[in-house]
Amino acid sequence: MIMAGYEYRGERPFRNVYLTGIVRDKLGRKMSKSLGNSPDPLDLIAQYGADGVRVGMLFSSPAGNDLLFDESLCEQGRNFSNKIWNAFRLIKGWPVDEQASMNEVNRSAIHWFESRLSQALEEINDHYSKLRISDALMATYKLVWDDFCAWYLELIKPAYQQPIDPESLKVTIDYFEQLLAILHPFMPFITEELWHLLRERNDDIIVSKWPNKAGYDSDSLNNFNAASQLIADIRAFRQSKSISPKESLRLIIRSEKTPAAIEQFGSAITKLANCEDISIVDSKPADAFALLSGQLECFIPMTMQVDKQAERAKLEEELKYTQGFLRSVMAKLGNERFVSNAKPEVIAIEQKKKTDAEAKIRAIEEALNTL
Amino acid sequence: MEIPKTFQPAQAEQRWYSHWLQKGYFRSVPDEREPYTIVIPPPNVTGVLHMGHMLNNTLQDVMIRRARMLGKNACWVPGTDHASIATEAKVVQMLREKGIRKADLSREEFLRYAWEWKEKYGGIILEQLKKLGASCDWDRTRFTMEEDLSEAVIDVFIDLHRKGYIYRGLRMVNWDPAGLTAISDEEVIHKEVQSKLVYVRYVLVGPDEPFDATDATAVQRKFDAGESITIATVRPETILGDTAVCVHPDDPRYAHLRGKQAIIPMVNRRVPVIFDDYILMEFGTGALKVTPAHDINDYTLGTKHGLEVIDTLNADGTMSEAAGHYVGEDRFVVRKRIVKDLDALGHIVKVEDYTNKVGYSERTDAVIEPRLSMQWFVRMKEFSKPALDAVLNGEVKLHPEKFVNTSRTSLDPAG
Repeated sequence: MIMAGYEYRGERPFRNVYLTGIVRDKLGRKMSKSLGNSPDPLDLIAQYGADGVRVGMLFSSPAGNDLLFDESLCEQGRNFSNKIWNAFRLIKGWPVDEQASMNEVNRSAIHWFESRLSQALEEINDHYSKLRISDALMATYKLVWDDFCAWYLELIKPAYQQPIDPESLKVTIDYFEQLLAILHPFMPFITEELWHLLRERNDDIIVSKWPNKAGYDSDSLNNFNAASQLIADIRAFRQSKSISPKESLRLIIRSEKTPAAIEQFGSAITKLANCEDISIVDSKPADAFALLSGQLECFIPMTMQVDKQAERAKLEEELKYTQGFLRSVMAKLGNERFVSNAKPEVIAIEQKKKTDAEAKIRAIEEALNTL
Repeated sequence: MEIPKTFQPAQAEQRWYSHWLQKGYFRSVPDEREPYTIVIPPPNVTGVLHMGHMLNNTLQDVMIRRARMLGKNACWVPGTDHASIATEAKVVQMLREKGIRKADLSREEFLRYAWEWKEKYGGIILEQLKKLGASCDWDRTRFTMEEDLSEAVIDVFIDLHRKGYIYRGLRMVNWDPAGLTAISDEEVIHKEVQSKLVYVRYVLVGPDEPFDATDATAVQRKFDAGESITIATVRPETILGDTAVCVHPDDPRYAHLRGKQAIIPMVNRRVPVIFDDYILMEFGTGALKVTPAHDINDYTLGTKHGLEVIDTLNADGTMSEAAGHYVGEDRFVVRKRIVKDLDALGHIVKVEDYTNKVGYSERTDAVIEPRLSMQWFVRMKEFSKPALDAVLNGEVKLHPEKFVNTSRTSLDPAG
């Protein structure tokens, strides 16, 4: 067509040519009737929905490379539809208190998501401009699933049977609407359906405007990353100590002044990590577990019931293992043949293992002393 | 309003697709907006949706829908391709059900039936694309066999012919003896198989030496005197089409054979011994039987040395009249029989097990036969240059960029 364009019209027939790879089965074999490894697309659509199959196809097809198709991708696509549907039902299910005003958690969550949405949209637009459609999908998927559903909605969500304030609900529905628009090219049907369930309206999403955002607050995004990391670390801490999420904790942070992440998202951390309060101190408190989260040096006082016996046994077990590991690394580093023959970067890795193990042993010993 | 617990795709898909159609959202008419157009790579009119279509049409729909939302005048032009071989097979099948033989129809009558088939059964795939959500401008649907499109193809052919780009020639093609059609290199699947490597000796004679190859004692005398040459082959049935024996010019074992002739057994044809450095001295005996009609490399050798081409196979893989023996019998049956018959005549030296790669047809799984066929060609040198330049200088962009290199080899005849 390019040749004919120049020969017969004297100009290019098109500006861009997009080349796809071949769809193969998950073992990398070409699909064929005789191998029986070629699913009928219409059956897949009947089972997972057209949106689910569309998303499933694009989950694993970086531009120009072969796609290794596995039906579980369509399942993942359908799960994504369900996630979006459930987010909608959640929002629609909240009672509203017309008199209530916006609380601190919601204010910080809304401020953060505004920036996050712009940032993600910038990334998504960039992928589209380079025709990296699968990357655009992955960025969209993360924005909706991780940022909106897993973080934003959790923050905004009123306590059980409690109402939400009208302003927060309005902003949340606006965000949801913009997400539907960004999702529409990938999932045309569920987005059109929800567009109309969200509000009584005559306009259709298919001809709605692509969201337009400009600029974002990087400080807010960085602070949120630190805050969400801390929440994840506290959750992991609870799990390792078998502390129920319902039991509230006290969080102590050693710092000269209140860290920016705490300043901005302290209330969010309190809500999602179930903390009674967050206090800032300038020296290491006694009788507390140490928890290093990114740059934040945190402590959790041992007020809650901890089985000291079990805790000690666990720490001792870990200490024994780490000491054994250190010994094996030391043996390697003490082996002259290894040291003189190995590449410098290999030796550097072993050195790092050594210092890491030593630091870990110190931390465990300190924890045992505190117990 | 009661919100359903789960999303019901089937229902929503049907409802919203009809709504979009009814509202005319897919329709595009040029206006002041920036245009954004995609022409569908037309699927075969006989086709049914497969996973490859799913992938590339989902991608197109994603791009078109986003362009529409960006406020561009988005137009996705759909259509189907007439894919003559596939369509013909469908039409012939329909005729058979009606008790009509294709051979009994004139070209015009056949074409009428082809259109009848197309109107009735063609383009199912376009309906299937709607299930996927494809937002094509269906009012613009085209079919590559429409009168004006066919007209354009003929005009272009005539034009290229006038410009001197078009020529015909005998070329080796991948022949599928079961499908009775040539297939592309892409459709040949190479598989490793267990074969027999058969060592066969041919009598050598001087150019003017009188010799009666039907005289068994004379043949035996030649063998006893060492006046013979042994070749190795996995396709002994093609011996009947041999028109030379080839050795390496630097091979000391065969240096004394210049000017000699070999006698092809059974057909008793005198053929020249030729010298060419194409030969691998280490393979087999270092001597090669040359069958220009049935092997691409032999064909090249034949052209270079001016050898006769004897096509010993019919289109369906049976032996032809030209073979002189086993006429009408299948190539694989003959492969076994000829070894027995040659053995009885004292020509077989030994038979070894041998693993080699054989091409199979992706469509029918038949073993591909390299076959000479009269083909049309277009000289690409002048024709492809502007296209190659456009791709190299980025006037036409390929995504992802790595394909620029691929296009260099496919668009550049020298590349």
